[in-house]
Amino acid sequence: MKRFHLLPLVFWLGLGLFVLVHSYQLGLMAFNNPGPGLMPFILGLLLSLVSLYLILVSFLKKKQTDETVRGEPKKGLYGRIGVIVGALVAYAFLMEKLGFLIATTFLLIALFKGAGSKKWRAVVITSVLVSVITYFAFTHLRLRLPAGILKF
Amino acid sequence: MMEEKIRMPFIASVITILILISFGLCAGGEKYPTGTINNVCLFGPGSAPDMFNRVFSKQLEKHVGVPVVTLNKAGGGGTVGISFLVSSRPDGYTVGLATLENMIVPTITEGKPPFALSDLSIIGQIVTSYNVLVVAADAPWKTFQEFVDYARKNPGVKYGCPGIRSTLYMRMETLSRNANLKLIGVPFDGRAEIEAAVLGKHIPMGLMDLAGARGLEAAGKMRILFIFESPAQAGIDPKTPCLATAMDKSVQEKDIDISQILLVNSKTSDEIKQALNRTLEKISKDPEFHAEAKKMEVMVNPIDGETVMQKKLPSRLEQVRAFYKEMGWLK
Amino acid sequence: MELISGVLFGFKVALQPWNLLYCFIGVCIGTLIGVLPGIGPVGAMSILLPMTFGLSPATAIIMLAGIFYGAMYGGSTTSIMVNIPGEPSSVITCLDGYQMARKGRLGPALGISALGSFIGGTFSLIGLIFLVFILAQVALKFGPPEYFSLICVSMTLLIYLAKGSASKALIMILIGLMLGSVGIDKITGIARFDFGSSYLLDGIDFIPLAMGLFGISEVLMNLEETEERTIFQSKLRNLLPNVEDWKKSIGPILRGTVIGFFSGVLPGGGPVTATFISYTIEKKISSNPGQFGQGAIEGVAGPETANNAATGGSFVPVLALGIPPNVIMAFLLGALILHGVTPGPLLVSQHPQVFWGIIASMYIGNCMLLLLNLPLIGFWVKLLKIPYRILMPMIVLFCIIGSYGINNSLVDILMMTLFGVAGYILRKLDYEPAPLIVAYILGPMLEKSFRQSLVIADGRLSIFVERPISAVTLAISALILISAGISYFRKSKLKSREGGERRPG
Repeated sequence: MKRFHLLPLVFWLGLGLFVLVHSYQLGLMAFNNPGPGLMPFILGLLLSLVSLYLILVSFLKKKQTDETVRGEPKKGLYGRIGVIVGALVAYAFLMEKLGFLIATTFLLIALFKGAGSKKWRAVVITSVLVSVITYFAFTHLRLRLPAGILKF
Repeated sequence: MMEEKIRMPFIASVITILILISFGLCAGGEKYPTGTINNVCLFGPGSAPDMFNRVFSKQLEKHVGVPVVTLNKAGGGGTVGISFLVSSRPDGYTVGLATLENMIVPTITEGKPPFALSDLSIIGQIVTSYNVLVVAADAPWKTFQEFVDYARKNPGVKYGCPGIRSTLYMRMETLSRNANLKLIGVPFDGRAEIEAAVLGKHIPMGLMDLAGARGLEAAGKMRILFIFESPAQAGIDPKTPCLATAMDKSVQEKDIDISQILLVNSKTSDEIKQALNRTLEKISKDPEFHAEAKKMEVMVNPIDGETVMQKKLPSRLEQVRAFYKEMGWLK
Repeated sequence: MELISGVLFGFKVALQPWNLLYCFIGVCIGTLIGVLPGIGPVGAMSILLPMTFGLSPATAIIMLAGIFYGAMYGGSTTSIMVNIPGEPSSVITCLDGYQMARKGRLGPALGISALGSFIGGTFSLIGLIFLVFILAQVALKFGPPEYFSLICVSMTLLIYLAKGSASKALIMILIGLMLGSVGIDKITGIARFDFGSSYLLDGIDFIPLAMGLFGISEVLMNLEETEERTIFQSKLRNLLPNVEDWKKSIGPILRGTVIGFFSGVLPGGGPVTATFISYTIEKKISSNPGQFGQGAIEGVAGPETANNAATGGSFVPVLALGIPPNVIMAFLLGALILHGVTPGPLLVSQHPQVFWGIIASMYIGNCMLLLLNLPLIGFWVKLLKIPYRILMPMIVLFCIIGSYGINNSLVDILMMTLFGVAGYILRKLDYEPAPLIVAYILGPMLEKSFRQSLVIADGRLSIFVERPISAVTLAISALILISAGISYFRKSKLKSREGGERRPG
């Protein structure tokens, strides 16, 4: 339990150090005025110090009463999260190439399944309908949505 | 005789092929333009370039007869929009409005250039903005010459500018250096903040375009100390000092004006480019457009695309590059 | 009196059938836009700008301004219903509004939000009419050093925003400040943390950050629940706020009006800082601060009133001087210019029908929105009863359309997803996104004012205390810090005697 909650702290420490180094390179002062690196430098410093402090404290303290305990994740939860996140990422890369209609249909199918809908046929039909309706509704309102490979 | 089973699919395929052929014929035979044209705006909705884009698109629509839609592709000071223009199909259905600086800057800064200047063709310059230097109504300098003398003796007079990477700042800095004014620019987030700071006496002067200054000047709260362009054309007191009257030739030549130009992908066919060129000429003679331009406080200043590309662009490129090098923004 | 005759004239203009119609169209479209997360009022106004070209200036501005208030009302709706802030000013409403919705109190939350907004709008209108010219002069006295000190006050109030662990909130604040510094540094023009990406050159945009951190992460968190759930965790109770709710809300509403109105006058934060200050003040003076973050109605009433009052306040510099305090007002001014009206101090004398017409139509717009939104509550409640597995994809779709429709950037969607995953992980580890996002908004403002002031003062740090307004404001923020420090110290001494969790003062 203790180890698990150290992970984010180590991450913050790493981030703080990274920002520290990077902002030093940006320059701390410019003609007697604060340079672009000054504020990020201070932030990186603070973050590193705070995370270091918290890591040390957690090693010294015996009891961990600060952290809430979360139960075991439900079966298939991470799978569903993966489907949704993956679908969104794929959408971000492919939407303009495939066009709004096709890409959104696939996205919606993934989202419906990820949210737990079971029936394939209903999901596919709804996804297609929603994509088409929103496409025409918003194009009518002069909002441009890419047609992609279905040029018309 | 065909079998029952293959008759329906056969007829269907024939019909499909016929439809496709007719589409192909249609697409080939019609004159440009036949469909919606996208006019890329390099900044977000609500900004000054966005407003101009919408007004111009309306004019364009009037003259070409098809819908012209403003497409906002903001980001990177113009980089995102122009990259989009360069990567879109060169069929004349994507055009963009930009300044020369918008084109030049991404090619000289920040690592690998997202596009090259040769990827773009300039159809023509359309309008030029009026830029002014304003002071509070009760500022100590009554004439520009007074100010110039004062600035030279007291280096470090502050002026508000709309951002350190703005073309306006480059313009003022160029003037300041060439005329030995030793001014220091204080960057603000836009014209409104500069106006507030000047009126509130937090800074002695501000640099902005005329559109904003007009109302406060008319009310007597601010004075226009100097205008870069011609005061008579701008509709203000013709005795206002301007580049032509207050500065010598060497300073005038190095001035960086802020003008909007119409751009397309350079791979677009010559036919389409010429069609756009002709349309642009018609627009610049259209009195309705002149009226709109007047309202937006910009000067209709048409220059043919070829001239811009051959004369203005190379010299501007040199200037911008030198300036960026000095500021330390070149990678 | 001149003012009274002006107001009456304004109502005469605003009540003309044509103007009434366009006001109604404006507020309807505005509400729709506000409910659709992602497209802000500016986006909607730009798309509809060409529609106004044939109209008279007064009518055009009445419609566009109607879109503005409509979007403000609508934005709170999505914040409360699905925890997605469409605009920076709706972020704070998410905190308690959404929790109220989950507890089955969607109706009262929406109701008090609409009523508070109406009261805030009305009172700020009165303030506008009487104080517009005086206030504008006062506002001018605020320059970069004064803004810095004001934002210092806001930053110190950030401490009170957190629900749980102080150290985690501090880390979130630091991360938020770092995220805010990504992009081209405004003072020197040098790019920070862009790693060569042209997308990051402009910094991390609010919409993908907020929609991801709040909306998408909420979506992911809700996946854990059983499939048959809806957003409501508890049984649905009354549709409108009851007497108890009113009693608790009247204070926050009144305070919110004052806070909002004056915040709106000053350029910069405006509605955003107004909501934030209102929330933290209500939490500080409340008799049970522990309720905040769990669905305290004061946490909705105050900020909602404040942000609507701020829209009224933001008209002050616009009407008095022609100076827009935020990007929405800048757009309205641009529209005025396109219609041949020069904004500025002479507006009231040269175009009195525009000046007074706008003021009167603000009130009418607020009335229309109240009448529109109250009956809609029943509709929203029904909508939210749809099973989550059907609702969720629609919510995500609208987020995407909203964001893409204006920026046309698929990278935004990628960022939104990234922040969604990050937000999910953070919330599982008990880190709260609210301090992060407020720090992200305030940080750049703070840094900018600080460095601008130093350029003006040629590097003299003393400028912040030389100027009276700035000195006083800085003293206030110091006092807040000290008081927070003392009470934290006292509480931790108490707690360490008893043992157990720590909470900020």
